[in-house]
Amino acid sequence: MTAKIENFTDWVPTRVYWRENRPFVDWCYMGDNRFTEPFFDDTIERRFREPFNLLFRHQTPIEFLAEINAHSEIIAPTGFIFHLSRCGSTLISQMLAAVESNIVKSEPPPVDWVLRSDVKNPEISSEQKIEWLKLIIGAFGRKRNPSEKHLFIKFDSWSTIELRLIERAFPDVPWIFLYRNPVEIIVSQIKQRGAQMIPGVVGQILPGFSQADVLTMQPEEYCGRVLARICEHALKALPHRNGSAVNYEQLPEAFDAVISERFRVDFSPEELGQMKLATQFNAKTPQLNFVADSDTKRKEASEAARVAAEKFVDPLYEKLEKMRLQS
Amino acid sequence: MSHEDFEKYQKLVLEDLSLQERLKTFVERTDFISEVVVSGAERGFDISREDVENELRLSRRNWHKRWI
Repeated sequence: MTAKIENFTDWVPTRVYWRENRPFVDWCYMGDNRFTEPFFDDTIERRFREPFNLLFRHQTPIEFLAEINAHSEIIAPTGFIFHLSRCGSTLISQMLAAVESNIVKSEPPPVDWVLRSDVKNPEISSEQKIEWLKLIIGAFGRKRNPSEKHLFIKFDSWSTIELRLIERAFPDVPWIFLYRNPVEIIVSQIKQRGAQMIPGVVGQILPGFSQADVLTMQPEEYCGRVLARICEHALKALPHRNGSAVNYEQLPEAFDAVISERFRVDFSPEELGQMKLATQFNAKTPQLNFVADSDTKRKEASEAARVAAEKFVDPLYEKLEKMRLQS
Repeated sequence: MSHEDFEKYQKLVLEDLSLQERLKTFVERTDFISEVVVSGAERGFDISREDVENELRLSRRNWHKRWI
C-alpha cells in the first residue's frame, strides 16, 4: 500500500465492499463537516452533492485502517446505542449530535457490513469480524476537530443480534438498549417498513425459516418475530455491568438521568440545553416538530398487529420491563 | 477517454493535495467539470466534458447500488 497517511486527513470511511476477494474501504472527503443528519448515509449523501466528493474517493484495503489509526489521535467509543427500531434511538443520536464535542455515527453501513460479513462468506471468523470492527470504529473516532471528545455509535436494530460479539471487541464501552411497546413498533413498521422488516433484505434474520416461509408470512407476524429475535439477544446480554435497558416512555426526560449517567459523560448545562432543543423536532424529519405518538399508534393497531405483538414480543417486553425496573 | 484512463487521472488527483484544494473550490457542477477538463489537460489527459459527466453518473449509480 503506497497511500500516504496525510492524504487521508478529513476523509472518512463510508462503505466496505469486496474487491479481488478482499474487503476494501471507500472514503469520502468530509472537510470540517460533522455527521449531524439523522443517519450516517444522509450525511454522506449530502457530501455527494458536491461534485468533487462524488468523483474523487480513496479506495483502500481494510487493513490500511490499522496504519491510518496508528498515526491518528483516536477517541475511544464513549457509548453504544442498540435498539428495537422506532423507539427513540434516532432522537437520542440527534440529541448527541447537537453538541460539537460528540462524534455520532448513526447506523453506519461499514459497521453493518462487518457484522454481517460472514453471511455471504461463512469462512469469516468472529475474531476476524472483531478485528475489522475495531478498525472501522477506530477510524470513526479519528479526531478531526479540536472540540471532539466523545464517540457514540448507534447500531442498526438488527445488530443487537451481534451484541455479544460487539462486547468482545469493546468490553469496557457502556451501552443502552432502547425498546418500546411492541404493538406501537409493529404499527409503525407496517406503515413504512425498515430494511430488516422486508424478508431477505438483511439476509436471513429469522433462523429456522426458509426464504419461502418468510415470503409467505403475514407482514405483522414477520415484524413480530424479528422484534422478538432482537429482544431475545438484548435479554441474553442483560443485566450487564455496562448495559442498561431504556424504555421509549422514559424519553426524552430520562436522557440526563439515565443515558448521560450510563455513558459516564458530564455534559455542561449549555450542552444539555443544545440537546434539549434537538428533542423539539422529529428526529428523522427535523423540519417537523416531535410529537409523542404512542396513543395514536395503539389506536391504529390492526387485529393482526395486536395478535403478533401479544404472541411473539409482549412476553419479552415484559421481561425487559421487569429487568429495567429492578435495576 | 476510457474509464481506465480516467481512473489514472483520479489517482493522480488523490495523491496531489494542492490539486484537490483547487478542485474542491468548484462546488457548482458546470464550473467543476470545466476545471477537471483544464486540470486534466495540464497533466496530459485528454478529458472531455462528457467524460466527466459519465464518471459522475457512474459514481452516483455505484453509490445507489450499495444496497444491492
